[in-house]
Amino acid sequence: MEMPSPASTNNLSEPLRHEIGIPRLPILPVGISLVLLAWRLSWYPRSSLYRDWVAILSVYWILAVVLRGSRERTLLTAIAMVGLFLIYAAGYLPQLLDHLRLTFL
Amino acid sequence: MMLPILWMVLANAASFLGAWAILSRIRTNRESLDVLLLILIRLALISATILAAGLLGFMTSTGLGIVATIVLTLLLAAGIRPDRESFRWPACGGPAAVFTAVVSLRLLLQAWFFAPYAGDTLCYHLPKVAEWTRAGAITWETGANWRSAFPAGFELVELWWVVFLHHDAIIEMAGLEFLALSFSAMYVLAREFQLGERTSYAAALLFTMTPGIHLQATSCFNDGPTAALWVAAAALVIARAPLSLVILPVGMGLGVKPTYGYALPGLILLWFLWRRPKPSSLTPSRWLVFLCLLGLFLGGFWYGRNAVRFGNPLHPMGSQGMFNPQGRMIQQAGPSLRSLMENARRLIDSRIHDPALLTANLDFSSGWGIGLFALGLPAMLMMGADDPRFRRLSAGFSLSLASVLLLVYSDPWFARFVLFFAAFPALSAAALMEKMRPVRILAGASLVFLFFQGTMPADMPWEGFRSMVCQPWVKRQVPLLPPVLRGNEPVLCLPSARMPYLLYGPDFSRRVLYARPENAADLKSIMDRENVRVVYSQPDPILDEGVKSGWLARGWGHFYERR
Repeated sequence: MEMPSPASTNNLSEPLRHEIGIPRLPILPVGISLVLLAWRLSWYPRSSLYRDWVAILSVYWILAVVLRGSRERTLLTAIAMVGLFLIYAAGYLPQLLDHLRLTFL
Repeated sequence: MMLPILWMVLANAASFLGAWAILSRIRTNRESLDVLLLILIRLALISATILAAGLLGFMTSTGLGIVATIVLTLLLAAGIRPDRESFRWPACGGPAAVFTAVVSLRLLLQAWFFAPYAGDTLCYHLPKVAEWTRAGAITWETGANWRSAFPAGFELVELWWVVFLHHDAIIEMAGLEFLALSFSAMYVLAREFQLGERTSYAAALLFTMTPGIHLQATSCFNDGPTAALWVAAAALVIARAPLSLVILPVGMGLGVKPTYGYALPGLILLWFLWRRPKPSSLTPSRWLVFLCLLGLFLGGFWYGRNAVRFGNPLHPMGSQGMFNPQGRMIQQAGPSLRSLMENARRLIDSRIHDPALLTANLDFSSGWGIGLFALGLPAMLMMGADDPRFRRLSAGFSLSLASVLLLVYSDPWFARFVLFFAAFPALSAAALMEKMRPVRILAGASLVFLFFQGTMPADMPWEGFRSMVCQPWVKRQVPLLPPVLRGNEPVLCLPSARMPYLLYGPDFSRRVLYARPENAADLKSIMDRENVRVVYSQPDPILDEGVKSGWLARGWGHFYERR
């Protein structure tokens, strides 16, 4: 089957896109994500980028848009949320345990 | 003590029945919305009652108790009875119900065992509560601090819980009332987005467990109540309530804190976006007009008072900003792009992580907590991408967020003013729970984490808490009073005094005078005229002069004694 050219895909209807396997890639969220990612890459320490929530959410947003309608999206969301949970907890939990006198944990 | 407790019970019954009587005239027959209106109307009624009683000079246990008994009798005689069948607890599921019960019990214990402890509240929020309780009236006296002229809408509800017992033992109940309002407003918002009862309940839990909102509820701060009133207004807007009804929480919010006004643009946008086509289930009535006027009165009163007293309704905010007595700018006047950029940068890079242990004052933190950080942020993106209603909602919330960040100075506490924003990620997270099962597990883990985050504020160390618990409730307060004070002798406070509220004692038995002496001789004459021996103030050139002259001696801490 001959694939349509990128320019011509913009005029395809949503059911046809789905049928021929072309994901609809909304320009706005992907564009914003890329700008945010570029912004973080431009100044955030590379070694710490894995725990930068802006970078994580930017990547997540792009992938969530690409994986729209698929089961993998749920897994992706769960991974993003667990990651953010751990990032927050790693910073806050030691202080909290200390404050609540639960350091034996 | 039994009679004041009886008056308090009767007054609360009267306020509830009064709110019910009004609600029965404007019912929407949408259960959750009616509960929100009931809570809101009750808060408005008790605020108005305290204000009226305070202005007319009968703001005492007996005065309010007698009025409440008459009102209650009239309402019962008119056949007003609460219709229990109209309200039922949402089907939230066993774990959520147990969690709610545990949190509620903890909050009640905190309200009982916590005495007011947060610096700003002891400095300029609560001294007016103490002054007005002592006077049995709302007087011009609000304390010597330059910030004491701020609107006192929240203090009216605190007075409600103080006046009957003439004691601040359960003053935190005021904050808990607004926490209940937060819960109810968030539940309505979720229901209006067609979320199921269980997920709407989860949204309400996630929002009210937000540490900033939660810690403020038991600390006498007014930012939590401000956020509650903003979300209540947003919920009414989304429910397409008539504008006259939306004005009730807006007016009350402006009366609690002027920063509520900074967040109005987003509310206006939401109203614009949701104004179509579904007709309101509320029929126009004079009660709606009454509630609208009540909201305007509760909000406008404080600005009118300041216009009369200081010639500026926004006092102490001037055209150049708000300055402390040392001339340092504390808050800007008008928008500033620089503030917007700084606030946004600090929120994104630091505050959102809550890098410091959370205080009720939210020093260097957002107070949004782990639930909104881990679940809310991805959920906002996901729901925004999938559902146009969430995009519209995000426009309103984001506009208000940006508007506040544009209008407030970037100090260590600016995130207190945007606590309302937490409602949007909470709603998004709950909406995502309906679509994705794993999110529910994470929501449960987050709520457990949030429970511990909201248990003990960082500005209340264990030692302080233990000392409060060990005190008999009648004497319970943060330890401050030095041995130099004899019995209930009066104390003179200068404007720089840091925690004058503690001087009153929990039962407001000590007289506290406020003065702004021009020089040492002026101070001496005031002390002699008022027969006051002790001055409470931070170090001050006037006091230094008195010490040098030999008629004043530096005592314990910030206390000075007349020789």
